[in-house]
Amino acid sequence: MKMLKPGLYALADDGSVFLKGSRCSCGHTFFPPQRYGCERCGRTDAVPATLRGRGKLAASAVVHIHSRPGRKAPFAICTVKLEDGPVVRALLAGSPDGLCPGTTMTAILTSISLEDGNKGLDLRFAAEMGASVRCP
Amino acid sequence: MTLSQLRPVYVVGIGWHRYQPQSETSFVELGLTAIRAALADASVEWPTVETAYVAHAKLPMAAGRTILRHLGATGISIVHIENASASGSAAFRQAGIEVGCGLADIALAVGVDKPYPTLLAENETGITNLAEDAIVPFTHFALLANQYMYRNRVSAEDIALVAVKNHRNGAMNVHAQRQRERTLDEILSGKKVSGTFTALQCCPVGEGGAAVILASEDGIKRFALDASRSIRVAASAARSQRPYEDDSRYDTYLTAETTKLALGEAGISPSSIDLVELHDAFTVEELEYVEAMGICREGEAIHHLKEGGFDIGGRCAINPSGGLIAMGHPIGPTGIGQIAEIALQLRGEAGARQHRGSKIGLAHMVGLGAVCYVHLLQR
Repeated sequence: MKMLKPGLYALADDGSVFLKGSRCSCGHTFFPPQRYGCERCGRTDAVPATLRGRGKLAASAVVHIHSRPGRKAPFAICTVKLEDGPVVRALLAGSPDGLCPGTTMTAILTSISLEDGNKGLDLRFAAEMGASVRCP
Repeated sequence: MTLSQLRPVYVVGIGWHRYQPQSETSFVELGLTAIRAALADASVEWPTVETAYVAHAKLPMAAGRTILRHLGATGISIVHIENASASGSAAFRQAGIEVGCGLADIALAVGVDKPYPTLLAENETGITNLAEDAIVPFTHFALLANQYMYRNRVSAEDIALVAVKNHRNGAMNVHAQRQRERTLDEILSGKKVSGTFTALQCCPVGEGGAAVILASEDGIKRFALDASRSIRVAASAARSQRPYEDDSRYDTYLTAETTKLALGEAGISPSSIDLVELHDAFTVEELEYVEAMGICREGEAIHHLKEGGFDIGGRCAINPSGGLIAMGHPIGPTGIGQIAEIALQLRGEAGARQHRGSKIGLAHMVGLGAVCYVHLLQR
C-alpha cells in the first residue's frame, strides 16, 4: 500500500517504522529532513539519518475543532521525544486517555483513506505494547 | 548597544479603537480613531509627527498611507512592520530606536488589523512534516498545557483560573473585545477547542487599532508636552528562536532569554516589576511566561494566581487590561495596546483597573516564527 509521506518515514527490514531525519557535520540531528541549511550552524552538508520510531511521550491532546480541509475532528495529537534526539509531533493512534508523559511510544503505520479514494498508509504513534506509566 | 544607551525615549500619547469582532468598519476608521486619540492624549498636532511605523499582519499590502493621508499628508516616512503577533511590539521598538538615535523627536507607532485570510510562510517552505496541518496554535498550546499539568501537578481547572482573572479585568476595560466577567464553571463548560482548552480560554482574533506617540526630551520641551504624563522606555529587547534542548517549549525559553536581556538593560530585578502585559493567547501561556520571566519560581504560578498575587492590587498585576484572552488579539494592534495600557497604569489613569503605586511595567509578546519582544516602561 502507498505511503502518504514516503519522504518522512519507511519500514525497516525488521518491520519497525523509522523516521528519515538529517544529521549535520556539526552533530545536530533534526527532523523533518531539509537541505536548506543546518539551524544550528548554517552548514549545508547534512546527510540522511535514520531515526528509530521510538521515544517517550511528552504531551498529548484531543483536538475538538479543526477547520482545515481533509482532517475531521476529533483526533488526537502527541509530542514525542525520540530516543535519537529530535522532538516530533504526530497523530496519536487512539485516545490519549490514560497515557501520561513518559510513556514509551512507538511509530506505527495505519491504513487511511487518501484524497483519490484509495487506501494508503500514514504514521501514527502508539503506546508500546506493555508500556505503562503511573499517572500522578 | 541598547535602546537605553541612546537618548531617553518617552511614551507621551496613547489611543485605541476598541478591539471587536470582524465588522463592516474599515481598517482606515480603526487606525484613524486610535491615532487621533493618541494625538489628543499627547496634545500633539499631526504635523509635528516626523516618522510613522504601521504594524499589521493581516491587512493587504501598503495599508499605511491609505490611513495616514486622512490626517493631512505631510510627506513623512512610513514603514510597515509585519512580525506576526509581535508586529505592534516591533513597530514600537523601531519607532523608539529612531527617536533614541536622534533621527526624530516625535514618532507614531500604530497597529491596525482586520482578520482577513492570510497565508503563513511556514506552510510554504517546501518542508513537509508529519502532522503540522493538524496543529494550529491552539493545539500547539494545548500540548504545552498538557505538559505543564503533569510537570507541575496542577489540574485543567487550575489553569482555567487564568481566564477567570483576565475576563474579570477585561470587564472593566472599555477597549476590550470581551467585557464580561465569567465564572470558572462558565469557562470550563464552554465549547471544547483542543486538549483542556475551552473557547473562553483562547483569545479572540478580531479587529481594532492601537497607537502610541513617542518623543525625545527635546520633543517634549519643544512642543511643551506634559512631562508629568510622559513614561520612559527603560528597555527594549528582541530575540528569535534558536535550537533548544526541549524544542517543544521554545516560546518559554525565548521569553526567558528576552526578558533577561531587557531586565539587564534597565538594571531591574523581576521582583521590582509592578505589572505585566503578556502574550496570553491561551491560558497556559500566562503561567509559563511569568515563571520564565522570574516573576515567580518555576511551578509556583498557580499558587500565586490562587492567592490573588496576580490580581490588580496584588503583588504583580498580570494582564490588567484583560490580556489577549479578554482584551482580544487583533494582531497588529496587540503589542502597541500593551504599551498603552502600561503607560495608562504608570500615569495612574487606569480608573477601576488601576494597579496602585505602579512604577515599572513590562510588555511581552511572542510571535509566530518564533520571535519575542520585551519592553520595560518606568515612571
